[in-house]
Amino acid sequence: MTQTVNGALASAQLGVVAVREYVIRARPGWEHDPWLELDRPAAFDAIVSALRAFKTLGGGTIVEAGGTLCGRDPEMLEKLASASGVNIIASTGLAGEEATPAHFQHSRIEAADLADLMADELTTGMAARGMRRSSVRAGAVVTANGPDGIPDIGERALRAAALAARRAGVPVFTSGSAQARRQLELLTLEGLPMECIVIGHCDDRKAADLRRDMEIVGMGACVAYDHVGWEDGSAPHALSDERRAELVKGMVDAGFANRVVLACSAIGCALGMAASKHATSHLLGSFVPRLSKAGIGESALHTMLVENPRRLFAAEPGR
Amino acid sequence: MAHVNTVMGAIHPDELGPTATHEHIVWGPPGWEHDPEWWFHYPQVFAKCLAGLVEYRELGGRSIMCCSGIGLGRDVEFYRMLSKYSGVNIIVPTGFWAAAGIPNHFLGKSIDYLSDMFVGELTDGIGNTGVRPGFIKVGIGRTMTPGDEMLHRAAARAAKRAGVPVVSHGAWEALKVLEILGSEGMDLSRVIISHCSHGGAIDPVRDRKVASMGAWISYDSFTVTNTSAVTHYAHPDEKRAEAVKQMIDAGFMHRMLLSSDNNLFSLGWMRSSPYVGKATQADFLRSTPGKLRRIGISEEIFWKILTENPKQVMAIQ
Repeated sequence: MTQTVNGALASAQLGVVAVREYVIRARPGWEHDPWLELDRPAAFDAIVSALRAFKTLGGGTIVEAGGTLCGRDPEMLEKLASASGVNIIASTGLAGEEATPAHFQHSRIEAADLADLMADELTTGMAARGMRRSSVRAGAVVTANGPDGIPDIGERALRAAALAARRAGVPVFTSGSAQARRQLELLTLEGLPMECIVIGHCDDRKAADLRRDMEIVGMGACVAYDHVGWEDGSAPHALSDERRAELVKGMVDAGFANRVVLACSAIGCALGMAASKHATSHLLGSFVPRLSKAGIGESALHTMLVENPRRLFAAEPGR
Repeated sequence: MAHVNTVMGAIHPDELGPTATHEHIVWGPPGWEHDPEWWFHYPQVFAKCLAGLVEYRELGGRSIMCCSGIGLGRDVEFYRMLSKYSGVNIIVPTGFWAAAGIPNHFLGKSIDYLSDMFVGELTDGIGNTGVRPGFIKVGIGRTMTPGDEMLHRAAARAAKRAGVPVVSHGAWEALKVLEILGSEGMDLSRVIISHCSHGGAIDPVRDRKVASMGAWISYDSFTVTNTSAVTHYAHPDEKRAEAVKQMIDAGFMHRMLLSSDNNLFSLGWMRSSPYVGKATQADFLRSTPGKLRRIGISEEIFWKILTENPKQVMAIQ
């Protein structure tokens, strides 16, 4: 079973899954900025139409990959999923050092503390504003690292992600593929099976490396090409979809379709950061046709979009 | 018209009365509210803070400067209730703790962005509360980092525009703090150098130099004395009293502020620190006069420093 924000769902019901999307995205502390206002009704409408467009093209589910601290509102996610008809799998976890505030940076907060925080969000309910625990549960763990190695807080967050994911039986989605090897090392050190790990951002322009991706899937983990549609050179990670499609093709041709997942990292409502120019519907409306044109068959597409996520989200607790 | 901004609105400087100038009602590192392990029951904390402030008033205190800036637990709706029912004026700052405590959203913002934001709070109020801060609080880590310097420049630019004082907890880099604020054209008589009485930070030569430049010396850790606890600033109050005496003897009584840097309630992992929650601002009023009396400073002088000096530095013209 998979925990969506609207309750448990058989993983066979997820359909086409975009494994890394953002509904509302902000950095911690954004609410103190007097020039930043979340127009909730407008944001709600915009997000619902974006999700509906994804659904119209055949989409079933998104993983909201912001983690605990980046503008997540559990009860709003629940309403957005209901209004759009798209399943939303929310995430717990710390999304990188630059998005982790001072309280969590302090060495007083250990990996075990963070693991408890994440496990509670997966099994009981996600933390909401006003020191209140909602009854809406997360269904995935995210973690992130920058290009320059894994700092102390990053290591604690990775270890905690593995511990919490094991307890709840959910997958871990990393980002920062430049650190992929160390991420795998730390996650498995804490006992997380390779098949529960997705190494994200493998299509980051600065870190794209097909040989590394083959090495990762050879070890049993999945790779995510999850910046589909980020083609504009102004974003440091942007890469043309053409080049991205070549990466996917390379993996499929090598027989690794069963270890590849896809997403857009589209941002439904960006607060104080660059918004994406595309929405999640770009995945099915533009990128999948491109993959077909490049010669990737229906069956491989179905494997990447449906079967792989289904397998990832069908893990059992306590592993 | 000369005034001081409190959470209940502007008051005349003469209404301040005895003021502990570097305190915290609540303080926590940014992000504490996202960690359920450290959540708390608000009614109980309200009762605890209210009791602390009522006792402070009973012992003669009339105003408190809470030095918890943006993202550090500053909750003006909560503070307004506390002020209303304790009768203690509460003055809050705009500004950030130090570069290390700037909430992630603001990392990478320019000096002018931060400065405009501080001015916005000082003139239009915090969020949609209409409550105006009475000063700017900034600080440094162990040394003055480039981020700390940027924060000080933003504070100086905003202070000049809004006419408020700046509190910097940078005793151990005091001259650098003054150099940076001064280079932005700030009047040093509107600058308070905090934490000059911390363990390891006592330096009478520095204090006289800072005071002779016109800035204010803040001896603000009275009651933090538990040296057996793991803390970076506890030491005997007698050492602080001695620093006060030296400053008075050097003729700088009119450039000195006294306080205790206590949290009535700590947020996040801070709550587990051994030096918090052990004393209150009321304890400061209770125990400090005796420490000073024993080395020849009368209680009258203590109350005079507490009453007259904040009035000078805090007044917005």
